[in-house]
Parts: sequence; C-alpha cells; structure tokens
Amino acid sequence: MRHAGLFDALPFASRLTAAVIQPGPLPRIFGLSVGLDLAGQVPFHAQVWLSLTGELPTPDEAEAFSWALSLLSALHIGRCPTHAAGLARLAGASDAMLPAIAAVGLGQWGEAEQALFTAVGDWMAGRSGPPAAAIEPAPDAEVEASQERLSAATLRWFGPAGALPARPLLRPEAAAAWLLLGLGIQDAARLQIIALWARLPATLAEALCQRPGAVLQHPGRLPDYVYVEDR
Amino acid sequence: MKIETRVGLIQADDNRFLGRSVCEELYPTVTDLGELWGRALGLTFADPLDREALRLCALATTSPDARVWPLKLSRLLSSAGEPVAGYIGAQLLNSSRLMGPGVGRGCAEALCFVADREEALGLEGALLAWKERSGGRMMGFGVPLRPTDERLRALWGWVEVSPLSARPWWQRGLRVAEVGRRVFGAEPNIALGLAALMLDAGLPADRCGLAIGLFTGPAFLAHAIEAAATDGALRELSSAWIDDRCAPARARGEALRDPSPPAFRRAPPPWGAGLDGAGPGAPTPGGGASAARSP
Repeated sequence: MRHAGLFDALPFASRLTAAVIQPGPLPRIFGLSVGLDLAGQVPFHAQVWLSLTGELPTPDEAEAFSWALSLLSALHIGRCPTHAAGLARLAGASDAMLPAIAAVGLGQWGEAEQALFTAVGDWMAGRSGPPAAAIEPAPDAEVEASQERLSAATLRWFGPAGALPARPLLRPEAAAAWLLLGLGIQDAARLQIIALWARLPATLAEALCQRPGAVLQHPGRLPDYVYVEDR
Repeated sequence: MKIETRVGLIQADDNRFLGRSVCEELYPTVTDLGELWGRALGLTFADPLDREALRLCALATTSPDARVWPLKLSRLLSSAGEPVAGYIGAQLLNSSRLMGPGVGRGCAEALCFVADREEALGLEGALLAWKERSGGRMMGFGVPLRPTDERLRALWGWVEVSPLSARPWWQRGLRVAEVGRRVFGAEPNIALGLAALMLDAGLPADRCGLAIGLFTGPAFLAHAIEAAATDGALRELSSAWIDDRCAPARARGEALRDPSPPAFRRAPPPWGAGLDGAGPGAPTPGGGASAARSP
C-alpha cells in the first residue's frame, strides 16, 4: 500500500542542474570539449585550473599552479593522512574504499591547514610578519635552493610586490600557500580541494606499498597505547 | 610515545570496555544495544532513567523519509551495491551545522548559553543574546512544511508521563519553547527536546550532535541496505534529468561569455590588485580570460 508524506507536497526542482560539466558523448568543462580542446592540448593541471576558475591558465598561471601542487603533494608516512591510508590498506581496505579513506584524512589535514594559509595571507598583505608555523624548522641547503628558485619565479610571475622573500625559509605548504593566494585562490573550499587533489596520488602510492594483512609490519606500539581505568 | 586510553583492552579471558569487564560486568547488566552506544558517548547510566531518555530520543528521531537529503545521499552512495559506502559515507554529513546532528549540538549549546545568562538577562533577553551571537539563527526553532513538529509533539507526550519530565533541562526546554515561540515567531522543533533530554542525561553539549548521529543511524543503515539492492538506476541518470546551465561551447583561447559563477572567481592578490598590472597577480574580473592562454 502506498502512503503519502510531507515531502510529496514539496515543490522540488524536477531535474539536476549542471553548471560546470556539460553532459554529452564528449563532455565539456566550462565550454571546452575534453576530447578536442583539452586532451592532448593542455597539461592536466591546466584543466584542473579550468575546473576551479572557469578559464584556462595563462602560461605563468599554469607554471605557478603546477609549482604549488608539487610543493603540496608529499605528505610522508608519519603524517596522519598517509599513515591512515597505509593502515587502511594493511587492514584490507578495498580498492574502491582506499581512496575514500585517504580523502577523509586529507580533508581533515586540509581543514587544519587553513590556519596556516590565513596566516600566510596576512603576512602577504602586510598585516603581520611571517607566521611561525610557516617557517621551516630544520632548513638545509635543498630548502634554501628551492626557495631561491621560487623567489625568482614569483618575481617573474607576480612582480616585486608579490615576490616571495628569500628569508625566512618556508615549509613547502607555506610556500604553496603564497602561490595559491597570489593566484587569487583564497577561499577555503578551493584551497582544500587543490591540496587534497595534489596529495592523493602520493598518499595512495605510499599506501599501496603496505601488504594487506601484514598486520605485524605495522608498528602497533606507535603510539604505545596504555589502557587505564580510573576506578 | 605513550598515550593513555580509557576505551578498552583485549585480554586472554575477557575484554574490558570503558572501565568494565565485558563478560563479568556488562553481560549481566546491559539490556540493549543503546546502552553500549550511550556508554561510548560518555553516559554512565547512574540513573536508570537515562536509558529511557536514549530510547525516547531514538524513537523521536526515527524520521527515515528517503527524500531527507542526508538519507538520499546514503542511497546514492550505496547505489553501486555496497551499503557500507552509503551507511558510513553519508554520515560524514553529520559534521554539518546545517541539518541533523549539527543542529542538535547547536541547540544544546544554545540551551547552555541561555542557562548561563538567564539570571542576568531574563529568559527572553538570554534567547535574544543567543540569536544575535549565532547570526540570527536559533537552532531548535523553525518547522518547515507543517505547522508544528510532530516529532516534538510526540516526545513531549512521551516525556510528560515519565519521570524524565521533572528533570531540570527538560523543564528549561519547555520554558524556552514557550518564550522562544513568542520571541522568534517560530515553533520549536525536535532538536530542542533532544538537547534537553541529552543534557539531563549528562551529555556535554558538544557530544549531543554525535548522539543524534547515533539515533539517526538506523535510518541511514536501512536506506543503504535497500538502495544497494534497488537503486542501481541512480548510478547514471540520462541527460533528460539534467538542466544544462553550463557555459556554451567555445574555442580554446575564447573567454567565457558570462562570468563564471561566484564560487569560481578569483580574488585580488593579498598584496593588492594589479600592482604591477600583469601576471597572475592581477586576475581579471569574473575570473575572466587574459590574453595569453595555454595552447
């Protein structure tokens, strides 16, 4: 027997709304055909930029965006999202669920990271000095060389006002923040999408190195959980 | 690195959960699944009435219409045939402040806020202070689609004949409902009743959302199970079901004819728009095209 409810009377829209991806045999993204205008015509990161801004990047924008993605891309196994993805693989996560689990971890990481992005934005705007959280705690010659390259590139892309200073030496994610904010991507939603997308491949690659079921290969005492009772 | 946990331990002859032996202490006393969930939330069930509070909350939140947005999400995510994806995946929405558990948490926080200020401001003043603080939104009030919330009416009726009705947060909730109805011009909703019952049971306000997520779990689960078997058609809807408002076809190098939607626009760089008049630091309005685009 069919029953009627409150929702039956709601004036719902009758169709889904497509705003970015135009359905079709060859879909279009913001008006550009994936088969004719994008595939083989622009680097994939340029297509991602298109998806997030509505336009393909200029060469400078594409280069700066790509640079930011690389700086964001590597969260080592000691960082929670990669640790979690590896643990999930080891515990038998299916191929379908492993990226989803990693994405949950990366989303949480990205949300926490927003404070750093905000602080870098304040620094760029001259409202504060370089935030402590942005400064690389253990810089070495590679960090210095990397920032030297990036400083020169930002001078070329952004001009003197937007050039990354040579000092202090920054953590990679802080340098990426400088680039993305300078490119005009400043809302948390897109910054988190970009960070998650940049990190997902390497995070999952690390996870794939874990053998499902090899539970003793995981350091079960890191941390060493100690069960206590208060009574 | 050591971290203390009070949650549990596996032993050779028994397991311990939240300070109790599963076999010796919980087995003879735990009478239903809800009590284990309640203990996980932090309830101690020192007062047997807390079990009844959880039971009534769970019943009052059993609103499993498939068109409730988070539940529809559960169905969509399960439509490929894996109910775990829908059951668990959709509940990630429980962190939302827009609907469901987030509203319950916000309402519990509102009740605590009001309680702290009632003596100084009066109940009406405290309610208005909360409304101002929360940007004009008073969680626990507002009933769409019908004149009053049938779930809250039911809960009020159930509690009225129960000793739960004498508890302090419940009494405060009734007064808030009465005064709030007049002050906000809106009917109270189920979140108000749930928040009062949970605060009376000893839950901190910031766990009330988690509790509501628990209460609504059966609806997610049932939809996920059913949809995994029946909703395969949702995996790909034809274009007949899609209102195409995408940008029209264009050539590479040709700018969008209309500005991109606001969510896609770019902000001026933090150091000031167009200081040097060039490069990506000077995006054009509406995220529009500048002259040189990638090939």
